[in-house]
Amino acid sequence: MKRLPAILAFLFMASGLPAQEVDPLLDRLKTRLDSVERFEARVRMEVDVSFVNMPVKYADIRYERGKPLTIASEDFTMIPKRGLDFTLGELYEYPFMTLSLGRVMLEGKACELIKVIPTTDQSDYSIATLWLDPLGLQLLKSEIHTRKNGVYDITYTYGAAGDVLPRQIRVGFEVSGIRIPLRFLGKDTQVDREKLKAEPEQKGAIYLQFDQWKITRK
Amino acid sequence: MMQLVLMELFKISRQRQTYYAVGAVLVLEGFILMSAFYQGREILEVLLENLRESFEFQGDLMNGNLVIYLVLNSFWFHMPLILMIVVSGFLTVEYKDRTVEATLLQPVSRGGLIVSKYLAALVFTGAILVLLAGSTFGVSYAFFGRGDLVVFLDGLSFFEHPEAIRRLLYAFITGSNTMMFYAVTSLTLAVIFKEATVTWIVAAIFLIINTLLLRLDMDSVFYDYFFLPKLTDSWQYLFYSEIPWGVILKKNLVLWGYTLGTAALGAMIFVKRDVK
Repeated sequence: MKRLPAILAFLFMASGLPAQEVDPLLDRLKTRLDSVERFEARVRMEVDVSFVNMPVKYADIRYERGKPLTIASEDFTMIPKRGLDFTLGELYEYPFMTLSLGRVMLEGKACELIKVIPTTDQSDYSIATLWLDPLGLQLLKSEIHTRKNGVYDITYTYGAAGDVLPRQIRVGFEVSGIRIPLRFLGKDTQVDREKLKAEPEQKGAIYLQFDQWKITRK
Repeated sequence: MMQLVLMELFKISRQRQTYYAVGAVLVLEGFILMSAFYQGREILEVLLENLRESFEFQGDLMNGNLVIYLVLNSFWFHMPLILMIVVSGFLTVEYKDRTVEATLLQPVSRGGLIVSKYLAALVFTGAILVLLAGSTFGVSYAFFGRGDLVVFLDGLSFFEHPEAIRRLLYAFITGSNTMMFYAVTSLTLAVIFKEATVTWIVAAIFLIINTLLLRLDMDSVFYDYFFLPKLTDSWQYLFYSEIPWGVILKKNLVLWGYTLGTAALGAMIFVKRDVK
């Protein structure tokens, strides 16, 4: 498993596809995102998981370059572990190589499809696929295979073609059912252990909608 | 009738066992609160274990609302037990002391006397529930703070603080119907058995069987809406994301039917039977 990135890289190279250190388009996008010094916004969060009933939550997010993103809310909120990396900082944290798979259509828009393969085991994802809009220089979609937390499928929707940050993000993820101890009292709280074992991972999503963007750029 | 009820309440207020009961209820509540707090963290860990892989959580779900919910889960077995012991004593003590005979030497009808005892038992139960609800809410919010309530019923349901308070209050009110039923039943058992220890044992067995049968599920509407044990948990329905008010109303109406029927049976036996 640890050798997976190297094997994948070898296979891609052997297949004649252009593997490169870092795709120039991705680098251009990163440079553009790095021009954001700070931003803040109001975010509306809606969880869509079959076994979770949660009211829509609101929070304030704030980012300042060099500092971690902060999310503040008076309520209990569930923040997705992926999807809020607005500056691709997590992707660029450890060395990687990219593989351009050429042009594909995504919802009627021509995109560049790029595979990102970490070249070190330190990275917490094993491979990522990015759909980049080369004209608007925007990230439209990403699919991240993490080493521990399954696959994240993230789509970004922008208010306008030139926007640097998205208006909406949908973070799709895999989640397994809940294991409840028998002594936890609740009506009809029963555990079918065999069913739980057999139950496949479920798909869930969280929808993030941003308002009142205040962005400061270089 | 009002005079008789007031007289019964006065007698209750003068009995030492009433204060033992109040003390026991409060001590039990304290233990349940503490255990709810310690149990709560563990429950949250389990409930949120899988979501933790995809999410980071902000805010503390281990708050007063969760403690009240866990306390509610424990209340409906322990509190009826204490109530049944105390309420049955309203009559068994009088049988033992022969004050029933003395009372009936006065211009008081047998029917009037037993009905006043049932009404006094309901007032006493109501007062205990108000005390319990007040102290549980007060202590929980004072020590554990406010926040969202998470409940596992047909999935994980999260309720924001104002909604959580509303549902917990309704749960107390709905659950009180069950308490009223057990109080009335214990008085009827006292009418039947007269002797305190026998009444307590039968009341405890009745409660235990009801609690066990509550967990037994059958795919039958009749069973769900008319089988007594299945009527005692309607407070839990208040924690579904969409509250099934119709189900709660039907179950409580049938439960009150049982309550009135049990009281009528007790009154009938009391009126027809020789006091000795």
